Amino acid sequence: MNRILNVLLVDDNPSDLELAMIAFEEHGRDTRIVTCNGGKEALAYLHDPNIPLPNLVVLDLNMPMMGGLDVLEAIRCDPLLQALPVVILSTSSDAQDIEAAYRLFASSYLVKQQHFGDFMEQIDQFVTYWRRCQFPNVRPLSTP
Amino acid sequence: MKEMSTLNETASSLRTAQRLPATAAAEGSGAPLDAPHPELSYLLEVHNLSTDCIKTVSADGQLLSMNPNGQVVMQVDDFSTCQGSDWLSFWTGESRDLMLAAFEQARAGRPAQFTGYCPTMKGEPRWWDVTLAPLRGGPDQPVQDLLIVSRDVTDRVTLQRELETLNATLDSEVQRQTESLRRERQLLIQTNEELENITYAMSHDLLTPVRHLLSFARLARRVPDSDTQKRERYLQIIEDSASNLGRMIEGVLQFSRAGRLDLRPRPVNLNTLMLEVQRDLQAEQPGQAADWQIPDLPTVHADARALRSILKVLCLNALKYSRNETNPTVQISANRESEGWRIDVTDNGAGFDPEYSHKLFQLFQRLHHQNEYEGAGTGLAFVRRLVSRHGGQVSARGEKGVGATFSFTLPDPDTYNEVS
Repeated sequence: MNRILNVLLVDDNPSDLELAMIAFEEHGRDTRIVTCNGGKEALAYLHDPNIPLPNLVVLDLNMPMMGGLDVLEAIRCDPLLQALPVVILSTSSDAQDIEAAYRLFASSYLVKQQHFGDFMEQIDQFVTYWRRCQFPNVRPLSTP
Repeated sequence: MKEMSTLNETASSLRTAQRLPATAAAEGSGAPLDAPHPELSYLLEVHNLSTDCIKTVSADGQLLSMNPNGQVVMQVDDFSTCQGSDWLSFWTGESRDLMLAAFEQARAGRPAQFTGYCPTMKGEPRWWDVTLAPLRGGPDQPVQDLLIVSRDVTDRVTLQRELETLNATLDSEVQRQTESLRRERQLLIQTNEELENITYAMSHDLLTPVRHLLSFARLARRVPDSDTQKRERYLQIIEDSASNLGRMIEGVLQFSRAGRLDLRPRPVNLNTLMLEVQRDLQAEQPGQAADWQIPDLPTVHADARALRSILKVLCLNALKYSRNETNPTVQISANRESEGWRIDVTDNGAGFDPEYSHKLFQLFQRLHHQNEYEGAGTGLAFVRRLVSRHGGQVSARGEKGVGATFSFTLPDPDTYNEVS
């Protein structure tokens, strides 16, 4: 299956975004990554009727203003976005954060690795797994 | 039987003696004029020498006699003035009830006792242990009079009352201190929890630039020699991350200092202080010009150094977030607010989304992106800590693209005592 995995990556930290992009580059042929700087920007992107929804959203938790959990909640409460898989990628290994994320039906929770080699492996496993998934058409057919 | 008649005779002798008190006193010995028997003379001697107040009172309450020393302790100058008066009426209040009960009991034929309050004839306060005994005409005779012996126990009662008052005072003092300790303990627990949360959050936030340092150093090494641009960018990121980390750690140190600073509150004139703050800012940030609007400001009660730091941070922020305006303006104002002053620092800069204003004063929390406005996110947490230690509160209002106002209150002296 040569389907392309479309990912929306949400993180406010430019260096973190760059590191993620470098890690995803290894799978450049199989993935297309779009980045957003913050929660409000991400939700605006997801609501844009001219852009097809990504296959999944990768979300950092620690962001100024609208935090990752707020974004996740907004997605889950939105009838248009409800079924969208969301993966949390955060430095926080706090049990409370993990619990909160799963309570909001995050698909999985990845703790960002400190060492880049480990992080590359993390992204590697991530892509391998999600490329295997079948994604339903989450955007409902518009009735004229 | 013999004692009864002896007593009776003594009583009548007493009455006789009382009728001529002046003469008895002139005699010097205190011995009555009539001393029919040796036993009687002994009893009369006892009667006259005793320093208790020995009285006879009729069954219907009339005061019949009082021994000489008794007159002294009762401060009676002339017994004839109170002879025949209603002894029962000497007693008032709680003591009266006790006295009446004892009187009834003695009149019914049984000795009785009570302790009560009765001032002297001159109105000086006294407490007495009073013993009442019935006096009959003969063995089967009804009770005729009462023998009432009153002992001055004023000292004992006074001491007892003082002790009770002292105990009550101690009791309420202990309660007050316990309450105060309980509040202090509560505050300590709260502070501890806060510090635990801060330490946790801090470690997390500090690890981010460390992760960047590690990652980009590894990446920089892997860049081929030819790609100098890429390597340069990675090296720049390393440098930025390191200085970011440095700034965050300095911010934490400053925050910690806010807790350890020895506060010495005194009257501080805000206008004078603002001149110093402006001078400091000019020296540190020479490029940043602004239109300063500073009216006549009051003198407030605070630690001068702390207040200077608070104003400096708020003004620095005001300058930073309004630097992109064509006419950056910073306004300082002070208003009276429920037993204290509220000081506002207003700018016409980038403002912030009021939806997230509750995050503003938390350590490392920022409401702007690093690439737009740099900062460690520790200044406001530092300000809040200092203001709290003065018993005040911080608050902020803002509107994106319009500006922001940061406020803090300083309670008047004596309305707040820092729990140290």
